[in-house]
Amino acid sequence: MDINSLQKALTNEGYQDIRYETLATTSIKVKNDEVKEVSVTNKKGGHARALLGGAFGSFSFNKLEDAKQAVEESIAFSNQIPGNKELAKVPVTVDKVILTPIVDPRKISIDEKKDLLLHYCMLAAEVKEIAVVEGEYYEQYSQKVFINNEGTRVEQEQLICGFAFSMTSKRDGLTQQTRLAFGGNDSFEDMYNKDKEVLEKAEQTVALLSATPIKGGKYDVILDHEVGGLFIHEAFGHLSEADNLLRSDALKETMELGRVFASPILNVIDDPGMEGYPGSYIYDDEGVRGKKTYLIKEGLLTGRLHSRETASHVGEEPTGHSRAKNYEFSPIVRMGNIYIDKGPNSLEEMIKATERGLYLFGSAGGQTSGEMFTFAVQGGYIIEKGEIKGMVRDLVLTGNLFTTLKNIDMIGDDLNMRKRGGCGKNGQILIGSGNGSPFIRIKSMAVGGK
Amino acid sequence: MRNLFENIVERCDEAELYKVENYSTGLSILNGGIQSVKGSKTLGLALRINKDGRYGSAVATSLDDESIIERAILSSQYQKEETLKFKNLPVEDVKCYDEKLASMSAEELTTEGLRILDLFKSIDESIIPDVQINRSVQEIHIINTSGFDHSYNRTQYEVRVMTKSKEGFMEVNSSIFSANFRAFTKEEVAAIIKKHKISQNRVNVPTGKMPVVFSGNAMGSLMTRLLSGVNAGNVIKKVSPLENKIGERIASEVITIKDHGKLENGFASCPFDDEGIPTNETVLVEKGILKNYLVSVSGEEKLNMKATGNAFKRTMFSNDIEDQPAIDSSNFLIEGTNQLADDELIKNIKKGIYIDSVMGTHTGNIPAGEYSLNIGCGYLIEDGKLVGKVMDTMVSGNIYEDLMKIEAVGTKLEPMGVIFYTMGYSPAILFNGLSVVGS
Repeated sequence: MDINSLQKALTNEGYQDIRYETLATTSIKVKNDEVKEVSVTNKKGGHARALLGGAFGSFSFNKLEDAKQAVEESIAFSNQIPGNKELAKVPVTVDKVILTPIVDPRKISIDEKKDLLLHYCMLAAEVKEIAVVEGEYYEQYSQKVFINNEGTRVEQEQLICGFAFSMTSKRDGLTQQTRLAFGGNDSFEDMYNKDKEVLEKAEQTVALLSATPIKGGKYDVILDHEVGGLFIHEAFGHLSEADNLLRSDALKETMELGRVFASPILNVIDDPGMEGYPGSYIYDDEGVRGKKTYLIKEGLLTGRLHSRETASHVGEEPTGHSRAKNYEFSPIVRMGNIYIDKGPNSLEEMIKATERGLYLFGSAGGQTSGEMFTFAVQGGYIIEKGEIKGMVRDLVLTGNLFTTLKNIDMIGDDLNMRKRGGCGKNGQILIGSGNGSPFIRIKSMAVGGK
Repeated sequence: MRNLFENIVERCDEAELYKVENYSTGLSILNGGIQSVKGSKTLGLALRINKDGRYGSAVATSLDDESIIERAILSSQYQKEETLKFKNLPVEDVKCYDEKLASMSAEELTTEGLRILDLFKSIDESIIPDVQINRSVQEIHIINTSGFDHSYNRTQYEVRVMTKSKEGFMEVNSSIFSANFRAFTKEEVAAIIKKHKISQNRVNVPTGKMPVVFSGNAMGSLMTRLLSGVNAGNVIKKVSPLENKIGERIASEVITIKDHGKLENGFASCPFDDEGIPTNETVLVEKGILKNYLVSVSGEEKLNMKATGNAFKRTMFSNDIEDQPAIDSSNFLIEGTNQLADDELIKNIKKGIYIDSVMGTHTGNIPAGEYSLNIGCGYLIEDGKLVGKVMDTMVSGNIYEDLMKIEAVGTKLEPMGVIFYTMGYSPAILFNGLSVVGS
């Protein structure tokens, strides 16, 4: 890539940066025993930003030679905005990040990927009462250059690949759906030898047809690592993204560091630097190194996720969490890998200690408004007097920032991260967003139902 | 584009080249000041081909990138033996381009944003809303080997206005989604402020069955489920509860639901879909009776139905050039018989809920019609009046039972919200006896 021509597009006026990327994606989609789509995508483009006035101006473009014009447009936009805004200081960085995956998916043929994906789909589709199994292989490889007029120049490779399945079972008019994922990092190795997991998920999907629909109400719930990861992402993670604080001064008070947010057993961390998960990366899209950040320590709010702008806004250290979906978007504050740290309890202890409640497995998406949040799960079991009983289905939970985190009263000793990332914010869906959790128990959560 | 297409035709048996040129400008106003102004000028190309009895596809971001042909051929080699049909049907003009909107500068859009702030100030200085404005101008051009060679220009205008609670969280929101420019009005601001004030009274709701009004915005969550049901692809896969139900009653007789791709100045209006099929006004449900599915070219033969012009390159979460054309709404449009004004809708409700926005549209068993939604913004109705904002409350059910419970349809159309985008327009709808889980 011609970095010098990008460099020439920048001037010394105010703050300016350019991110230019080449995106190569491979996507294979299959349904039962049929290939639906194989595509190999090439996209190129850049995003320029300038800060001269009271806020950022920015502009997206495709061709390298348009970088200069994009910078000029950004400057013109920023100049329109009255005021004066500072960015938090960060070290000038010149670095090159080259990947060395354990099993490099770029070196594996499309045939091999397709055959393995089909193998798993057919395995699941053969299970009685499984109606549809849809499988997808995704591989996103990007080569990014980030430069700014402070002298930072970061060249970075990013790669994520994985299998994702959606299984639908059907009996008469009733259908049930589950999801399963492997991979979620730069190596293909997790895709091998998964027959057992695939079959178990298919059987679980069929078992859900015999489950009882949940009756709406309040329940004590035990969440597995997938549901726990989704829970902490929605219940708290989004609120720890400090661009929220640009919205209102009231929220700054609500989110004052040191405030009690949860029971003292809860520790929540975001760490882009842990290797091998969907939200793992070295530098963010402002050329800042992603930093392990304690968000909640022993129940107290201790930190948050920052861009250079938000760090400056509240006078805190930047954490390197400003990322964009691709060149069509401005970077915004996003989670890397968020997780609940492990605690003292075993799953058996939690079940035994639950008089009447639910054990919930498998995530199925969620959403938050900041104060209230909701998430869906694939299925669950009733717990009665410390014992697992019958299966229940159609489970969606809802909670409140100020009460639910305080109701976490048991945390498992076994932390697990999810294999599939993904999160939507401000029109940007980001596959590189990871989460995880040990088993956790939450008292009195609202579960929807008829 | 024609040069590239000629090279494609030389190497493939049949082909379709889709080009979108996008020019957009957006701004965000937070905490009383401009937070960012952004622009974008990008190009996307998508190629679909048939070669040696198989179909393939590829995308690129430059007309000079001839590797798109190579990659499409590569893609075809892995596909099963099946080809795509490229059609050439006559195209009619649709009103989806607004010269005024297209020519507005970033300054003019900013001025409109600041004017909305001033409208709030003129009524109540203490309420400072977030305002987001996006304007995009697109040219879409499709050429195929059946002789189709058409392009159209369209504009899209989005405004989102949101007030915040005293803790700084979302309180009340309102939006415009349209193909033309329309000034946000003082009446709209006054309506937001009225609801904002009601919201300052937080109320708990008991668990139980009660009358529930979904606003036009909130209807997007229920219509997302109906869209899955009328999607011919799901009917063919046998995962739609509406399989073999054409001609049967699936909703109350007071409601009619259309998909209207030619709606004047509709946000998603356009002359043809992303496979080059002319858009239509398709009646899905007429006075409660299921009339049609939404069909793409690939579903035509399997169902012996005509394509409805609903194959679009987007999903619930993206509208990327690499998204394959798939069945989606153009503009859903909900109409009613004996429509009532919003005030009349709630006038006779002794105790119930009015829902303005929900969370969880994308979760749960959507194909089955199940929904379980957190009420992001909703109000308790007592004796025909909104009395306070409901907190930590969910509404759950299955649309295939609950569409039968519609008692009345309002008059004022709102954009139906679906995560990032809109799926059309609906008035407020009164349901009798939905399940509510309160706190």
